[in-house]
Amino acid sequence: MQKASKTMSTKLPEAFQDLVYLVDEWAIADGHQRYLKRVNSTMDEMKAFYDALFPRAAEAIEHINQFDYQLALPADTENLRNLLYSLITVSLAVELWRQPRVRNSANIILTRLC
Amino acid sequence: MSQERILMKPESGKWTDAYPHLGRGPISLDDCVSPEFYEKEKQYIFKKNWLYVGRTERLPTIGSYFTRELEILDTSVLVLRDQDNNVHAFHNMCPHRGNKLVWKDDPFVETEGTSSRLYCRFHGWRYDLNGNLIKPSRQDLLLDFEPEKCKVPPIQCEVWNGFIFINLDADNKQTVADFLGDFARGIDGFPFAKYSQTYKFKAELKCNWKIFMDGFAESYHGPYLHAGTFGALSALAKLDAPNPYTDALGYELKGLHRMFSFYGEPSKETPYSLPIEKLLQAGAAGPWNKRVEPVPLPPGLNPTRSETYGFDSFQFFPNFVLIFSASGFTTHAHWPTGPHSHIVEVDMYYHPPSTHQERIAQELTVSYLNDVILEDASPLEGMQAMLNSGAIKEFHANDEEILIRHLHKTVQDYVANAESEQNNEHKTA
Repeated sequence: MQKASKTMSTKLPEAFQDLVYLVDEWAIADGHQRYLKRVNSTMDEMKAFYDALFPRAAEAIEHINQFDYQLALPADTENLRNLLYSLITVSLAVELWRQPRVRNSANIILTRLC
Repeated sequence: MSQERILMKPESGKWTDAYPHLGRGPISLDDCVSPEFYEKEKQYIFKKNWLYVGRTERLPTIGSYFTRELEILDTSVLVLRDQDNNVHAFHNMCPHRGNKLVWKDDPFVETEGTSSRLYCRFHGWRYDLNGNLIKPSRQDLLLDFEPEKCKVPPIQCEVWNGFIFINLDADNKQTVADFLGDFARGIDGFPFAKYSQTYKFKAELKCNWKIFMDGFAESYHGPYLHAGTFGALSALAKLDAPNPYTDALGYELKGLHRMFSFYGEPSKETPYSLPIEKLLQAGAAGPWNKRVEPVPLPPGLNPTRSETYGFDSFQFFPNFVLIFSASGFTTHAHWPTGPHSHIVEVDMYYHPPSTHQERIAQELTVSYLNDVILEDASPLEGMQAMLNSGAIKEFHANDEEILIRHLHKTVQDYVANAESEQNNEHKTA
C-alpha cells in the first residue's frame, strides 16, 4: 500500500485510482458542457465510460456523501462527483435513447444556464 | 363556516361541459400562423398585461439589477432593487438621448450585477436607483433643461410571492394579485423562497409560443410521444380506454388563466425503471417515495385532493406557466421572437439538498426533464412548419385538450375585443 501511494494521483480519492484515466475527459463541472460532451460523443465512447464507472457509482456516492454538503469538496472528491454527474448525463443516452441525442429531437438542445 | 371546495368532473363525464361558452368544435389556428395576428398579439396582449420577468432571488441586495431583452415588447427592460428594497423596472435607456443604459460588451445580450447608481457611458450622466437624474455631465452646457423631468422611463412593476411582474401599459390600474385572480389566491403563501436550488434552461424554438404551451397543457400525449420515456403509461394506452396515469385528475379554467392537476407521485420504482434511476432512487418526477412538500398544501394545490396527485400546472395569461411537483416548482416563460418562433425559459426551483447524495439524485431529475422537453421540441417545430403550409385552417381539441382550446380562444377573443374597443374609440373620438 505504501508503495502504491507514491504513484497515487491526486485527481481522485485513493479507492478510485483505477478511474483516474476518466477524469480529464469526463469530470466536467459545468452542466451545459456535460450535455455538449454527450451529444458530441459516439455511443462507443459513452458506453466505455458508462461501463467503467457505473459498477463503481454506488461506492462513489457513498464516499462523496461522507462530506458535509455545506462545505466545498476536496478537489479529488469533486472530480469524482463530476464524473457521477457525467454518468447521469450519459446514462440517459445509454439506457434510454440508445443514441447520443434524444430520439426524434433533430439537432436541438437546450442551453443550461445553471 | 368555510367549506372546502373539491374540483370534480361534471356528471356528464366531460370537463368541457363545465364551460358551455368554450365551444366544442374545431378551433382556428390562424393565431399561430398569421404575421398580422402576431402584431396584434404584441400590441394588445403582451404590451398590455402583467408579464413575469424573474424572481426576486435574482436581486439579492440593494442595487442588484438584471436586464431582459424582450423582442415582443420592442424594448430592453432593466429590473433593480432600490435603496428602500423596492423592486423597480425601467426601459433600459438614458433619457438624455436614448442610449441603452445597462449592458456589457453587446447591447443585445442580457446582463446582471450590482450598482449603487445608473451610469450612462455615452455622456456620463448619472441616475439614482429610482431613475432620477443625479447629475448630467457638463452642466455649464445645459440649455432649457428641467432635470426633474429627465428620468429613466419607468415601467409598472410589482412583486407577487417573489415573482416579479412588469406591465408596459402605463394606464394599467389592476394589481398583479388581482390580475392572477383566484388561482393565485389558492397558492398564495406557498413557501416559494424555500426552494432555493435552481436549475435554468433556455432555448429558441421555431414554433409559436402557444404551440409550445399547448404541448405542456395536457398529458394525453404522454404515452404516445413519450413512449420511450414513460413505458408504463404506453402499455396502458394500448387499451384505448381511460388512462389513470395520463388522464388529468382535474382541469379548471378561471377567466384568462387555466390549470390542470395530474398523476405522478409518489414517484417510485416500476418494472420500467432504468438502472440509473434504481441507483439514485429518483426519476423524472423527483426522488422516489419521498414527498418534500409543505404541509398543509395551500388549498389551490391538488384541487381534486387525490392520493395519486403529482403535479399542478397553472398557465397564467399570457405566457407564464407555474408547475408544482414533489421536487419544488418550475416556471416556464414563453417569449415570442416572431410569429413562428419563441424563446422558452425553464427554471426549476427545487428543495435545497442537505446531502451530496440528494444533490446527485436531483441531477438525474433535472437531466431527465431536459430530455423530456427535447422530446417535445422537434415535433412542435415540425407542427409549426406544417401549420404554415396553410393546408388546414383549424385544429381539433378533445376533452383532455380543454386547456389548449381555452388558451387559443382566450387569446383570439382578447385580441378581437381589444381591436373592437379601439375601433369604437376611434369612432367616438
